[in-house]
Amino acid sequence: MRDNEVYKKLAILKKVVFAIVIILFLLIQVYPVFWVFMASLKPTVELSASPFSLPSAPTFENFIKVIKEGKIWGYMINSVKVTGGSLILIMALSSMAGYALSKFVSRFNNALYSFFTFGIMIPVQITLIPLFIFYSRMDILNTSFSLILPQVGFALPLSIMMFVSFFTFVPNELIEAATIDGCTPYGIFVKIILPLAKNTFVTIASMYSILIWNDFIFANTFISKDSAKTVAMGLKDYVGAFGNVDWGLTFAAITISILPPMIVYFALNKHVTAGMSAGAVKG
Amino acid sequence: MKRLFLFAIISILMLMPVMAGGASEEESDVTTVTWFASRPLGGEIDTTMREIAERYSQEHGGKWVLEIETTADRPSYLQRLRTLIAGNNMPDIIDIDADPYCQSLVDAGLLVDVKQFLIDEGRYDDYQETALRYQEFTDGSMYTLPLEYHIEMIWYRKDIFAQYGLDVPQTMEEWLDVCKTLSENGITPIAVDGVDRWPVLRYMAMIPFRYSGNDYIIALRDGKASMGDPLGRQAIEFVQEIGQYFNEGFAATDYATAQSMFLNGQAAMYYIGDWEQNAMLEAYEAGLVDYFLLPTAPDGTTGANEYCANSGIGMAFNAETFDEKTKDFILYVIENYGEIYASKMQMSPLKVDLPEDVEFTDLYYRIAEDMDNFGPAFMKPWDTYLDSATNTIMQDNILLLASGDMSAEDFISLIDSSIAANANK
Amino acid sequence: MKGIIKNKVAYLVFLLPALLFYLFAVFYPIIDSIRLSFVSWGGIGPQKYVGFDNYIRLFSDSVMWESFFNNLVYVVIVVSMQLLIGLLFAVLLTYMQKNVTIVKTLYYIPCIITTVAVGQMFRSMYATQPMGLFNIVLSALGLGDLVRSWLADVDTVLVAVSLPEGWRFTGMYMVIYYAALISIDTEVSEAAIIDGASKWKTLWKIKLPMIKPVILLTLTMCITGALRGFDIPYLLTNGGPGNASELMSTYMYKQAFSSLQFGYGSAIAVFIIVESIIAVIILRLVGRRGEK
Repeated sequence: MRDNEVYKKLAILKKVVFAIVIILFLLIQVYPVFWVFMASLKPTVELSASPFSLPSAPTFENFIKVIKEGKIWGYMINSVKVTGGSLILIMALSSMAGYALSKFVSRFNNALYSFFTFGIMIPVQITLIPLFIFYSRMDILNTSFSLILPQVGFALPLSIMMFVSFFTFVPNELIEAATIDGCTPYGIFVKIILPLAKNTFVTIASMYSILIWNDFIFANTFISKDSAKTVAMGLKDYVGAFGNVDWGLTFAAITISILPPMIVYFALNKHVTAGMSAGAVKG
Repeated sequence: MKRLFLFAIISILMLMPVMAGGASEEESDVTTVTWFASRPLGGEIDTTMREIAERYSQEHGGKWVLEIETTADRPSYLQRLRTLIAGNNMPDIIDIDADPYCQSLVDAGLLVDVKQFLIDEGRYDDYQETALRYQEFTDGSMYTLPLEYHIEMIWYRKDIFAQYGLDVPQTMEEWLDVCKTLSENGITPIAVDGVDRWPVLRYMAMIPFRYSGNDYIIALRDGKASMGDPLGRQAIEFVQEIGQYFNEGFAATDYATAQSMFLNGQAAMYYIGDWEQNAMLEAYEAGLVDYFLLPTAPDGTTGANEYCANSGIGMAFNAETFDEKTKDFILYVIENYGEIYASKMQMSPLKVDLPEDVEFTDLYYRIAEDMDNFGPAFMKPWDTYLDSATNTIMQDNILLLASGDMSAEDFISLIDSSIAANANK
Repeated sequence: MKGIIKNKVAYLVFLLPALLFYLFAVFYPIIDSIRLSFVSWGGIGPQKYVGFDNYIRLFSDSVMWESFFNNLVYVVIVVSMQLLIGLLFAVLLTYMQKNVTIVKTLYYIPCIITTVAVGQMFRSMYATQPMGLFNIVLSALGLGDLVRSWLADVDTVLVAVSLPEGWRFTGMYMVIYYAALISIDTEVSEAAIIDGASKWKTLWKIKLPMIKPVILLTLTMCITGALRGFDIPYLLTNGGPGNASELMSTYMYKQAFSSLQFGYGSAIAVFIIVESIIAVIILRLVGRRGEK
């Protein structure tokens, strides 16, 4: 009897500790959003003097200024174009290539797979000069495409890797059976492979949408016109002379700019869970 | 199915040019001049120039357009400018300091001789002399046109100074003494923005300027002097000494934080130029802050009315496209810039009668007076002299020197070897 | 990777678009960098062929080696944070019955925030004037002696720039691990528990080995990501003070774009590529050995 009680108490204690750990970590992870939002409600001077206190007199002036100026919407549209375009291409190209590399008979498969995955190791910064020179010759600087190309190129290695490692779990018998039923390789891809790979798509999309949305280094190099600026670059609009930054405005712009990825993530997240509970992934 | 698939691929490929959008602009009879600028967006220079361009464009029936692409963040700007030029894509007008990189552009014949241009057009004397001389190379040639003009000063808290019975320091020695007193009383003497690095570099230039004008840094750059020469050592010692009085962790303090520290009374002094006069205005009018100019050295060669002045990053013109259309526009700018710019409460590089319909503050008049009294010599920031590689090394390591984490000897050998390797290359 | 479909045309149709993009965006710049690493070029004028000069300089450049070792420390910190903490919380989440979705979603949040914001926030957190959160917490815990300006201190700056990067993507790896753990057949682990295995044992002996491919994949992602780590150190300290937090990629960027030595910068880039390749090869060897 007593043992049982002790055991019960231990179980409760365990639960409490568990909850505390989960919540503590939750605080650490969520705090920055809270901080960014608080920061956007403070005038710059207050922000740098007491960065961690609650705003003494919350003001939406920063937001009003950013919105009134109105440029941020244009930047958002550009970011949507770049992120959307890149995602579509990344998902289409990498699922196709993954399919080719894992389900087709070819003696080049291994070599090509290594060739693609090799790209994971390449620091993106090295592309800046060569691509810049190339773009300026082609006269495609300041276009969405100039950003989409490297984004897609550098996302391919990892996403191809993910698709290949997923597709190898798809039993070959499934394909054989479909072939016997008269399905072409294209039909198999669309009807069998794609629906199965839903989770991989969602994982890749949720990862890269955010990385691309936040990219600064490519945009900073290939874009100079206001009309083609992305959101991440627009955040630099509030840099004044000699390096003085109006952080209040910057954080207001940041708050506005993280809304779309948040919404996308919260929306996609349902799919992630749905896909998982359906238990589609297995070898 | 196969067809469907091919169709999908083809449509993706066709979509690309659409996404590329706006790549090809229609040919027309409108002349477009591009200015690749590094001015704060919506700042006074930016708005003044847009205003002038707009007017000029209207006078030409809209057949002439100035396209401004501005990146205020200087490191990003320079990186893009350099990639643009490396890609053989120099815009019609660019912003650039008269540094060794600019010199190499001049050597490659890419820039217009602005001094010659001003003299030919009889416009040289329209400018404040110091503003133009700041833009000069050491040999006296000038390829950049200033759009601003600033003096730099040391702002101080009158309340804190009064509390400890401190007077405004007249000499560098006294300045250090003031810092010492404050520090002993637990007050942070100076708020410094170390993140941007240039503010720390200014302290390095002070002693050599007091004793040699800009001669020492010129000799150092040319490899004719060593960082270990007596004057160089004195400069290093001064940085090490005054570095103790910087706010704690200044290496990671950014511009906005340093300035707020000063404005909130958490630091007694703050070195910045007149471009921040609007930020200082409220406290100045309330009698809380004031400024003094760079203290002197009793046995030095430069006077109290000679200190750091700058006319900011300059405008340079692409020699290849500097035709009558750009030329005429620049003359139009010179004609109109001073008045419009000054009416925005700014210090103009062009001599100008202050517009009467604008009410200027006392602070403005005081700064203008200091400008009028400016002596013949002025302290030119070191970053405009040094080659890019040495500059990077100097800026990286000066933080360590000021925080006491690097010995003078190490610093000297780093700088000397970098200059030996990179100067005159 | 044993395929089954034999159709050369379809093979090309599926493969070529990706290959073209990849060749263009990734491979062409690599080749160009290798070429540039053999020249001396300041961005204007002709490029001068200098043979192996840049590489000779690379191996005798003390700052280069400093950043190399800094980079190793950075990789160790970032990878252990992302993988260990990510895995730990993924496992904890699998024991949670309610609210998993919301917790998981919230854990992911740091990845969404722009680097600029993350950088500025950590700058404030590490500061002493005004007192940053990090130091406030330390004093509250009675560790007042540790209070310092973490980014200005040469001894702590490297750790200080590594933490934000590790922290930022922990949630992402956690989500990946959680997905992998959840997809394990519950029958397998249930069977083990019926057989009398403790939860702990089930985890170590059954669950983790089952998600090993995922762990290896994320390890590759994580290590190569950290080897080319850039934005946080660049924004927080730009490698400083001195070169105390210089990483290979920030040094490369500085050499190319601040010092205008595109040739030397490219040589460093080539070095980073080689270094990453070696890391991945080692990783694969280790992975394969474990399989035997």
